[in-house]
Formats: sequence, C-alpha cells, structure tokens
Amino acid sequence: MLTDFQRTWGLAVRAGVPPGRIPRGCTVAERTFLEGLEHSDDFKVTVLVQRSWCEHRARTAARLVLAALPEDQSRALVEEWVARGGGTSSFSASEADELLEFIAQRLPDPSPALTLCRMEQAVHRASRASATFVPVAAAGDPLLVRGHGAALVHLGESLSVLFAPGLADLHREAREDEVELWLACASPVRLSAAVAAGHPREVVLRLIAIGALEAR
Amino acid sequence: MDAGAALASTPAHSRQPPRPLGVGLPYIAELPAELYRSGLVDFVEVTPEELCRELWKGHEKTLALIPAQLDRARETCAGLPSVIHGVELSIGAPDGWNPAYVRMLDEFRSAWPFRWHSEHLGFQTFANAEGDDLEIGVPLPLPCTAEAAALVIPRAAVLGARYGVPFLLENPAHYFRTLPSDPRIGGEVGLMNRIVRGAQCWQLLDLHNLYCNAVNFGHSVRDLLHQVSLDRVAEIHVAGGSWFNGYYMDGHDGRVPEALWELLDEVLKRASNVAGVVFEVLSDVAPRLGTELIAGELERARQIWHAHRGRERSQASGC
Repeated sequence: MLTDFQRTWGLAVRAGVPPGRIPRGCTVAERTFLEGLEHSDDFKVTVLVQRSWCEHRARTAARLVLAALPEDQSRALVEEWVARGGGTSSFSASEADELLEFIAQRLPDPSPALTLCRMEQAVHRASRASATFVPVAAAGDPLLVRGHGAALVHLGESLSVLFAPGLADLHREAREDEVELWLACASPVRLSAAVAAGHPREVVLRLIAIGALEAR
Repeated sequence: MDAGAALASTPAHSRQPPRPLGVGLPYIAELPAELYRSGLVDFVEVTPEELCRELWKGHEKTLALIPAQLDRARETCAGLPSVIHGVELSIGAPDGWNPAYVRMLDEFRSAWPFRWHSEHLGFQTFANAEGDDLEIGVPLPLPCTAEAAALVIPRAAVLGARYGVPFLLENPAHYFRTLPSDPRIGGEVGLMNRIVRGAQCWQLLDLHNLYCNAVNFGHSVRDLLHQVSLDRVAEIHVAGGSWFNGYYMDGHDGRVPEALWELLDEVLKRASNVAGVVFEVLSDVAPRLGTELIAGELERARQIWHAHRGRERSQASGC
C-alpha cells in the first residue's frame, strides 16, 4: 500500500538507516524494495545527498556565526544538528531560531561567538515577526511579556542593541530605561507593577508599540 | 474534486499545448538584471517559493510572498512572460499535497500571471504515525505502480482546472535503480505517460534528469526517450551535473553536457508541442559560473531552438 511504503521509505532516508520493520500493508514489490535498502549503495548515496542538502540549509540559516567559528567546530555543530533531524525544511529561515539556540547552548558564555550568535538569532526573530506584526495598544492593566520577535543583545558594557519587529530597521541602540524594563520583564509582570517598580509608563508603551513587549 | 469532475471543469485552452515562448532562464535574484534584458531570454521560469517566507498561524503553515522580493523579481524580468516551476507541492505525498503551496500560488497568480505551471513528479513529505507532516529533506520518486498513478492523476487534473493554464509534471532524477513497479505501468516513463494522459496535462521533459538516471542505471537514454510520449511534452529542461561517489548528480552546477545538446536537437525535431527550453542552474552556483558561461549556454539553446521552431513562432512579447 502506497501510504505505508512511502512513510517507511521517507523515514528511512530521513533517519539515514534502512527500515527495521516493513509494514504488513506493503505489496510484495514494495517489501522487496524496502528490504533491499539494507545493502543498497543507491540508498547510501541518497542519504548522503539528503545530508548534504540539510547541511547546506543549516549553513544558510546560521551563516554569520558558523562562518565566524573554526571550520572543525562549525562542521561538528552542523553535523550534530542534521543528525538530530534538522535541516529538512526547504525554508531554512524557519529553523534558524531553533538552530541558533542549539548553537548558542554550545558556545562559551561570555564569548564573542556567543554574541554573534545572539545577534544573528535576534535578526531572524525580528525579521520573521515583522511579516505579521501589527502594533497593539495596551488597554487596562495587561501582563507584560517579552515580544516573541524581540531581543536585547549586549555589546560590551556601554552598548545594548534592541531588536523588535516594529522598528524600521528591526534594530536600534537600546536606551538605559529600556534595558532596565527589558530585564524586569524576564518573567511576566503586570503593567501596574512595572510602573510601581519605577519603570516609566511611556517606556512601557513605547516598547509595546514596537513589539519589544507584548501586552496580554 | 475527482479527476473526472476536474477535467469537466478545466478550460479547454489549458488542455491545449501552450503557445511557444522560446528559451527561458530561472529567475535568480543573484544574477544581474541585464542578463534577463539581453535578448537571450524569451521567458522567465519562476520558483515562487523562493520569494516567500514560511509562517505558522497556530498549526497551519502558510507561505507568505515577500512583497519587496516579488517586486524586485518583476522589475528584473521587465515584462518577460513568466512560467511557474514549483518545488514545494509534493504532489505525490500519500497524505495530501502541500496546501500552503497552493494557497500561495493563488495569490501569486493575482500578482504575476503565468503561461503554464509545472511541478516535480515525486514526494518530499509524509505524515508520521502521529499524523504530523514530516519533510524528508530531499524529493523521492514515486513507485511505478497503478496506485501511484491513481493518486496523482486527479491532483494534476485539479491543478489544470484551478489555474486555467497548462499544468506540467517533470520527470525526476534520483539514485534508486530499481523502484517498485507494476509490469502494466512499464517503469518511470510509463508512469509519467499514464499520468499525463489520465490528467490531460503535460510533461516537462527534464533531459538532464533522464540523462542522469540513464548514466547511473546503465540504460540507454535514447531507449528511454523512445518510450516518452513526446506529443505530451510542453517544456524541456537542460542542465549540467557532476560526479559524486560514483554517481552522476543532477547538480545544476555547470555546462550542459555535449550529449544533452544532441538529445535536445533530436527531441525538438520530434516533439511538436514543446513551447520552451530552460537552462537550469542553481541560484547558489550561478554567481560562480558567471554570466558569460550562462549567456553561452543560452545562446547554444537558442541556436537549437531556432533551428527547429524558427523565430516567427516564439511569442515572447509581454505577459
């Protein structure tokens, strides 16, 4: 049966290993084909092609930080990502956030490479979110959470860059009061509580307007 | 909608062969606009997914056209006729094609009408046991069975009806020399023949794919060509490839092999409904190859095209 056959074959190529069990629904011809994958050079080369495509997509999705890392480290990270099932989407940007988080977790903190990684991740997030971003005014006393397309990246002690989908260039230098509010919103906080804690209301509203914060 | 209903509602002109356009080139953002305005390109082949970003609304995937990229593509192509060459439909996926692609193409058509629409005969997605759609990471061919033909025929017919322009299916390159087959279908060429006849659609004959499979599987490419229903071929692809691990890859990464130019000449002699020939090159590779090499390949394709079709039959003016 076509559905069982294609699912079994697709999973095998995706995983890079021949199927262990052939579904009962497969026809004799389908079963013979699937059983033959065990010793098939055709299957091996197809898996190599699949891996190559997936690695290419991963390299495209995290172009900046991977280019900045030593080649051995960069290759190892990409191979591990693909071995975990990454890189299969034709839309590499869709996986970028997750891939960059995966890379970030494996870089020294602090390090220039981690800063680059966070910058690249922030650009991806803001860019993706900008496609659907609609400014929403805060009403009542909403819960403030960090915007899903926003990030703050510190470049040393004196410069922090704010990324948000509502900014014309998706980024700008963050002001000190914005940094303080961003840090205060590491976990959700009521608008009234934020103001009571000394964060100016206009700063709250400004960050909501650009999507750096979301009012729920 | 089943195949019969789709065919009944298909505009008659989409069942007619498309009007000849000449020699085309894929739209590649990295190439200079001057190449598309050089007179070497009669039409542009657009892969609309390359002008999209993938977005999720809850559990529903959408492909959203990026207006700035679409505008740039249209400006670059400066009024050239366009055709669509999709890669994301997954027309042979057992659990249904990619609905996000079809919705996006509806929107694309409103923004940039096209003369015909093509896709690859294969599948690259499937649903796992939990019902989640998984992407394989590479397209795979269909088994050469009556069941596979029965899956694709109504889908191809629906696409012809939906867009009112000819729908073409491309024969794939792959690296499996023996696919599950029904003797009554007669291999990959037989599968394609059955589908294009059943759906009353057309074939995009990718000569490089046919050549790759023949080289890798030890077949005669001419024997394969003799089995193709050449009267149903509406477009031809030519491309270059390279060797990897003892296999000849459909890499789209170089010049067209000399043997392929000879095949193009032979096919154009016999296939009277071919409306266009496209030189395919990967967008990542195109800048490295350079415009001079690409222009040379286009010039070669034009010489062969005009030897068989003559300049008067191309209708490359405006969309």
